[in-house]
Amino acid sequence: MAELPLADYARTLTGDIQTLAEAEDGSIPKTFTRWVLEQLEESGFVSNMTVAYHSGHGVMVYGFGYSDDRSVLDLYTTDFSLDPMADRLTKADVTRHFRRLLAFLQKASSIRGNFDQPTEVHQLCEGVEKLLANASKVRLFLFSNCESTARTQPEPTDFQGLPVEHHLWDLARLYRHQTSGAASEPIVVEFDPPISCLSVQSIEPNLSVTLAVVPGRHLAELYEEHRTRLLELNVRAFLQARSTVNRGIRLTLLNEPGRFLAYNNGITATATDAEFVEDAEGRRVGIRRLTGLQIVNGGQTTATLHHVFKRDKRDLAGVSVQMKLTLMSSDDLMKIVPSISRYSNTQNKVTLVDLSANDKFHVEFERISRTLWAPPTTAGGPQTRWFYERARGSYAVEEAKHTAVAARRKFKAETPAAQRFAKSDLAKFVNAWNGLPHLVSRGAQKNFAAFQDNVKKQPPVIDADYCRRTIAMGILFKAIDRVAKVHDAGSHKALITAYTTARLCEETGRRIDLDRIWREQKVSDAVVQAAHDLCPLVMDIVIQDGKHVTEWAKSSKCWEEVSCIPWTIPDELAEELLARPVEFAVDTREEEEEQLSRLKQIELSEWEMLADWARETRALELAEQQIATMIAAKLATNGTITAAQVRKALEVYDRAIEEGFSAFAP
Amino acid sequence: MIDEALWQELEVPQTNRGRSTRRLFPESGHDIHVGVSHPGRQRMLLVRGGSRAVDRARPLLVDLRETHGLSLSCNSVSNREFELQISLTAGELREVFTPLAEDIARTSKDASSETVLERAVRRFAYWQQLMRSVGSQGLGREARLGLYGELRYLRTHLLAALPTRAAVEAWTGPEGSNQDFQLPSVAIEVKTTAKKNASTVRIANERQLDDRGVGRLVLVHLALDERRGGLGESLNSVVDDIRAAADLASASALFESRLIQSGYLPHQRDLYDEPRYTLRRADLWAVDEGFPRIVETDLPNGVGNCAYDISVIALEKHRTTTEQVTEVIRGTDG
Repeated sequence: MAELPLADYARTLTGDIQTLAEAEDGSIPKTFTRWVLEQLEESGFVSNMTVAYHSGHGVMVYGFGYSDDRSVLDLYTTDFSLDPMADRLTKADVTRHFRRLLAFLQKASSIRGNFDQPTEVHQLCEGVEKLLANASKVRLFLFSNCESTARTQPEPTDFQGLPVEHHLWDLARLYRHQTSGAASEPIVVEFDPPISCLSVQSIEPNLSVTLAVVPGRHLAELYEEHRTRLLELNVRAFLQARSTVNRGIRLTLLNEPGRFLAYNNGITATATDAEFVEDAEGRRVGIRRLTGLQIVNGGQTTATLHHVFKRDKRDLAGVSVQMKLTLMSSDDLMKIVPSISRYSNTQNKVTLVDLSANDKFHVEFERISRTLWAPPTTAGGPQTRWFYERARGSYAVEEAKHTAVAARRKFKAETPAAQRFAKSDLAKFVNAWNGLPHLVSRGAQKNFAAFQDNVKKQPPVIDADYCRRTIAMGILFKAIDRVAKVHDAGSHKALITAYTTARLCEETGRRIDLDRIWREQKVSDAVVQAAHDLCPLVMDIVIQDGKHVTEWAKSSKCWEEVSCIPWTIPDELAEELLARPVEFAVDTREEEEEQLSRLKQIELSEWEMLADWARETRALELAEQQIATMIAAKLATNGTITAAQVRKALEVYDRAIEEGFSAFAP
Repeated sequence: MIDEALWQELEVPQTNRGRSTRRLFPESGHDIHVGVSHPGRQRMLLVRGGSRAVDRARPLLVDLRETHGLSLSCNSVSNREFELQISLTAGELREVFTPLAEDIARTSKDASSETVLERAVRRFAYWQQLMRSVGSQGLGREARLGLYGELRYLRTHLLAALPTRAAVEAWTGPEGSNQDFQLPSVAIEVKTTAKKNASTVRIANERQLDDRGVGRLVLVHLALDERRGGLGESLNSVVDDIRAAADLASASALFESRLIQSGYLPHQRDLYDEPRYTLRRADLWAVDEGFPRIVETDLPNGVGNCAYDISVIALEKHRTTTEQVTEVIRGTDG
C-alpha cells in the first residue's frame, strides 16, 4: 500500500510528459530530460543546461551543462519508460547508461566532425569539448521515470584524471524532490564507522543537542560534495577570503594538525534527523547517519579544511573537529538557525545586515546588478560595473577569484572599489530618496531593518530598471554628500546628507530623472546647485544648539521641521525634472501581464524564424535558441509560460534584435 | 542513383570543416541525403525525421548490435528534428556501402513521416543481419553452391534468351521473392545439389512452388560435382562472366547490388576462387496440374514454414526441356 502514491506519481508524471511532448511536438525522452533539468535548476543542482541528443553504438547522451565558474562539466542521459511501474532500472542498466555517457565524452570530438555547425549535436560536442579543457570535475546524471533497484551508486571513477561522479535521479528521488517542498533535497551523511558522541539531555521538546568529534577529512569531503549547499544557512560563507582567521586555521592544519582540535572552536551543525548507535542502557553513543545536515557556524573552518585537503593536498590525518550538533524539526530550522549563528559567534562580527544575506530581494538585486554595465563617463571611456556586496566580503572574494595579475587589474578597472556598495548603503540610498532621513539617521542596522520591512510589505519588481535607478539614487546621495562636505557638515555630514537628499527628493516630488543620472553616471549641475542652496538651510534645523544632534536627527519631528523649511525648486532644476515621479513597479502581476502581452504580440512564426536564424548564424547560445523554440511551441499549443520564462524569452528576443535579427528581412 | 561518381563529387576536398551532402528523391517529402564529412571523408546516409519518428525508432536503437565498419547514430538536429546517420567507418566495406545506402534510402522514402526512421533502422538491421550471416569466412558451403547454381542458370539460360538488363532484373531471389527468377510469363526456382545420387529435391517452404499469380512455374534441379582444384568453374568466374555482359548493358549496378544481397561481398572475393563446380546433370520440371507439392492453401490454419522433400522419381511425367523453357522465357511459346 505504501507504494501507491509513488505509482500514482509515476502515472501522472509519465502522462504529463507525454502530453507535454505532444503539445510541443517534442520527442518524449527529450521533453522529460528538459523537464527534470528545469526542476533541478530551480533547486540549484544544475545550471547552464543544454538539451541535445546523440546515440550511437555504446554511446548515448541527452545534453550537458556546466557550473557558473565552468569548473564542473555535467552530462545528462535519460531512460524514459512508457510503463514506469512495470519497468525497473537495474544496476546493470544504470551502469550501462553511465558508461555510455563516458563513452560520449571520449568520442565527442570525432562525432562532432560528422555534423554541420548549426546542428544541436555539433554544438553539444563542441560545448563539451571546450568545457572539458578547463573542467576539474565531471558529473554524470541519469534521469529516469522508473524506479531503480540498484542499492548502491556506482563507484566514483575518473576520466583522463578528472574525478567523475554519478548522480541518479530515478522515480523515487524525483518524487521525493517534488513532494518534499523544500527547495532542495536534504543532505544525508553516513558515518561508517559511526562517530562516537555525547548526547545532552534537553528540556526543549523538539530540540536535542549532541557533541561529537568528526574526522577533518570527512568534513572536507562533505564540503567537496555539497559545497555551499552545506552552508546554506550559514551567513558567513562569503566572509572567508579577507578574514585573517582562516590563515591561522590553515597554518595549524599544515604544521600542527594534532593540535587542531585544541585550537579550533569547531563547528556548529544542525540536522533534521539522526540515526544513533545506542548502548545497553539506551544512551546515544554514536552517530551513524544524519539527514538534512547543515553547518551553521564554522563555515570558514570547513572551507579551510577543504582548501588544505584539495589545494595543499594534505590527507588531514589526525585532524579532528569538534562538532556541536543540534537536532530540530525542519520547521524550526529557519527560526532557530539565525539565532545559533548570532549567539555562537566568536569570530568575525556577524551583524544583522549579514544575517539577511540570503533574502530573496538581495539575491535578486545582486544577480541583476552583476549584469549591468554602467555607461562610460567619458566618450569612449571604459564601461564599469557597480558592485553590490550582498554579503560582507563578497567583493574581496570576487577579486580573489582573479588570480592572475592581469585578470585582477582588469577586474579592478571594471569594478572600481569606489563603485561597490553594501546592503546598508542600498538601504540608505532608498530610504533617503523615499523621504525617511530620520530612519537613515538611526544607523545602518536600524535603517536596514526598516528597509527590509518595507521590502517585505511592498516587494518591488527587481529588474534592470530597478537596479539602475537604485544605483542612480546612490550616485545622487553621494553627490549630495560631497555638497555637505563643502558646507562643513563635519561629524554630522551623514545626517545632513540624508536630510538634504530627502528634502530635495520630497520637494521635487521624486521627479529627478534617475535614468539620466544612470546614463551620465553623475548628477546634473542643476541638482548640485539646488543641493548647495538647500544644504545650509537643512543644517540650521538639524544642527541646533542645545539639542543632541544625533538623537534629534533620529526623530520624525526633526524631519517634519526640515520639511517645513521654506524653499522652492530653482527654475534651472525645475526645467529638467520629469513630468511624473519616477515609478517603481510594485505589483509584479501587472508587470508580468505586460511582459506576457508583449511576448504574445510577437508572432509565433517570428519566434520560429528567430530560432532558425539563431541556429544558422549561431548568434545566440544554444540554450537561448532553445528558449525561442520552447516559446514557439508553447504559443502554438497554448501552454503556460511562467513569468521567468517570459522574462528570459524577451531577453533572448531583445538580444536577437540587437544581434541583427529581423523577422522582416528579405 | 547512388554511385561512385556521386561519392567522388562529394569527396572533393573543402576548405571548411563540415560535410557535403546531396539530397536524394527531390520529389519525396522526406529529407534523405547522402553526404561526406570533411576533412574525415566519411561517407554517410542521412535520414531525417521528427520527434514522433525518433520516438518510434528509439527502442530499436537500444538493441542494435555493432557491425564492424558500419555505424549508425541518432542525433538531434534541432528541437524537433532528428537525424539518423549511417556511416561507413572501414574502407573494406566501401563497395557494400553504396548498395546498402541506396537500399535503405529507397525503403525509407516510401515510409510515412512517423515511421521513416523506424523503417531506416529496420532496414539497417536487415543489412547487419545479412553481413553477420556471411561472416568473415564468407558464404557457407550450401549458400555458395546455391548461389553458383542460380548464377549459372542466369548466365546460361537467361542471358542467352533475354536482353541483359531484363535477365538481371529477372533474378529476384536475392530480394527475397518466392522463386529465384521471376519473369512476366514464368517463375523459375533453381535447386542445386552436390550430392552423388540425389533422389529428392528439398523445397524450403510452401510458397516456393505456389504458382498463384505466376502463370507458369518451372523447377530446375542442378546436380554438380564440387571439389577443390580441378577443371571446374569457380563462383568468381561465373560472376565475372555475368559482370562482363552486364557492364555492356548498364545493368551492372543492379547486378552488383543483387550479388551483395545474396551475401557475395566484394571485399571477400578472395574466398570464392574455390571450390570449383562441374555440371553433372540438369533436370527441368514444369510445376503444373498434378505436381506433387504443398501450397499455402493446403495447410491448416496456423501451420507455416513448411519444408518438404519431393522424390525425383515422382516427377518424371512433369519433365520439360531447356528448349521449351527457353521459349517460355522468351515469351515465344505461343
